[in-house]
Amino acid sequence: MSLYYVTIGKNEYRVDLNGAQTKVNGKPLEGRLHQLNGSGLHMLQCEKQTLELFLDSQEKDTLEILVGSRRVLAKVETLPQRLNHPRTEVNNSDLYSPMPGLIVSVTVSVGEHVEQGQTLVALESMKMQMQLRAACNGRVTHVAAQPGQQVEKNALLVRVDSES
Amino acid sequence: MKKNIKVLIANRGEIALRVLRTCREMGIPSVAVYTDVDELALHVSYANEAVSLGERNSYLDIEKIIQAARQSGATAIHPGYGFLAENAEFAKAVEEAGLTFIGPRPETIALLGDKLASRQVASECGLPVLPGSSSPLPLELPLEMARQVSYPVLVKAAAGGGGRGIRLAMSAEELPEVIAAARQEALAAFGDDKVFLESMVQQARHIEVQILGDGCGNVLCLGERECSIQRRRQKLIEEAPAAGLPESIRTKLYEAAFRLGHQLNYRGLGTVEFLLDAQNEFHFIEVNPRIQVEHPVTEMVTGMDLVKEQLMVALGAPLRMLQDQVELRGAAIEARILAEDPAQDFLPSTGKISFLKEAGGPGIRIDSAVYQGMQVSADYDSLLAKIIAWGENRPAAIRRIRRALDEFQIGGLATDLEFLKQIINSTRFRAGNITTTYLEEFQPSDAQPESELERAVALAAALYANEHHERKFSAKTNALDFWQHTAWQEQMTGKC
Repeated sequence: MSLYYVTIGKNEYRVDLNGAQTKVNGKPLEGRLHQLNGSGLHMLQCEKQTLELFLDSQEKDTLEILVGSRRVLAKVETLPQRLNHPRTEVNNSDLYSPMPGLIVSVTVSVGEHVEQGQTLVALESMKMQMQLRAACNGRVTHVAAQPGQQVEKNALLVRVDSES
Repeated sequence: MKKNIKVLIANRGEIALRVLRTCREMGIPSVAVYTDVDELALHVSYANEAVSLGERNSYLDIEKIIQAARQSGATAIHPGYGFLAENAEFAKAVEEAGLTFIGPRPETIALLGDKLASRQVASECGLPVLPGSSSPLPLELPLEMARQVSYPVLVKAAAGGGGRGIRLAMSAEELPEVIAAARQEALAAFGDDKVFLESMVQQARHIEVQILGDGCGNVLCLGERECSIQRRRQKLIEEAPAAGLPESIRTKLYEAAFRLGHQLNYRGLGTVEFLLDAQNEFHFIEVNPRIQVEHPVTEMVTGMDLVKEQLMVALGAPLRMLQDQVELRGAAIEARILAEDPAQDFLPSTGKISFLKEAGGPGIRIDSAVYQGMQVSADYDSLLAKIIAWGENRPAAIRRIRRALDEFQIGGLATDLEFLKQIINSTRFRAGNITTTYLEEFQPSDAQPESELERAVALAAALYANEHHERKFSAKTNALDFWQHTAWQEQMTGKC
């Protein structure tokens, strides 16, 4: 199995490692990846240029790649993975904590109608206070955060049923 | 002059390490303090001794820090910047405990901490102070007063400073509301709800002058720094000297800072901050009675070690040079690498540093306290590292810092590295044509890697995935990281 779909930002690359010649999006591109140490440092010899890269597997199918000072997150999938996991629409009307921090205030309660952009929760992290806002118009169905509470990244704070 | 001191550093992060380095060079024994979160921080192992303070807010705990000094036999305390550095109560408590406070006298800190009082002193020394209120605003602002003000106007917390506790009012109608919000914020942040009004300078450059005094009447002026590249009033890129500043203005700024330093019989390091308007008129804002984050640019152009000067003053030594021996050479630029994500409106980012390769080579200095494998927490500020570049002139310094920013690699969390590069590459920055609102107008281009490079990266990703296919991105062992770090720590503490 050596056909991969690599997504970097909005761009998708189909990398075919089958056969004598490797191809990226159908165009031949020869390259050899050498591991320089056991901590993710690699060198890619690629036609005219040689690149030093840091590659590290992050969660599930995502690779973190450093090329120079640029940091790239690449999603790498095999064909079956891609077929099994079609792009799903996530329910992004709910509010999750973008980072660990301390809940300063919660300005909505269950049953309340909220407008897109309205502040729902104030979160303090790294000495900065930030307003977390509603992604869309809707009705609050659950409040999971309390002022004074420490929350982890991606913790559910407020559940909103969107009105579209 | 005192012969022996033992210095406790009441701080963390890069500034703690910075102070410790000079202590080590001078053969001065040092004591680090740390909280539970910072148990594995670099300043802990770099110091000769370390004392645990307990929970995460303890860098602000005056009692605990003085207790740590007593326990370790430290005779002097260096506050760094932030935390208790500008807290007059702390400086007083340190001196009352019979210890040396490495900084200005407690009275000086108290005076400069009150922004209204420091405006008063500056004005008495003949420094141009921005039009504004000379006393705190009354609780109920008379309507007439609100009408007389010219807008936009800044509402500032008397106990604020460092760009915090400032709000903008655009009209007389919104002024009462802005004042109420500013009061509330000031009370929460500084425990004092006194606010005052100060004229807003449009198209301003932020220029500050470094002074050093020995507390015995001698004051030196160590040149200026420009810090106009700011986001939400927090400095991001600083340089020395200020680009294209007319010599006549420079002389006036130095004279003004010098007069103020003399008036205060200043002891230690201080920064006199000014705004320079479009007509090259300058206005006093405030004095920061401590070492600044951006002090390395002054060190690069003067060749001095400012922490060493602080320690010499604390030892009771007179200043070691005269004003005409201060020589400024070349240009230096500093860029702050922050754990903030420009793609998400500069939200702080946290995580474990997966990879770190700091820049090097001629003219480059890195001040940081991070290491590969370190967990960056949300408990303290977001500063990860500072890159400082020196060059024979400003264009040379720009080329160097650009090169160093390209070399600097940090993984595991989002940083502002790309954003810094874009600012430095922008035409207006290169032309030295910047004001404090530049970043509000600045539109970072979407960091799209060139397509050929991205194709190569995609190929590398696929090759890597193919190699690791059987392991299915299995968790890597961290054993190597651990041994590397242990070896490094041992080297630092001189155990091997």
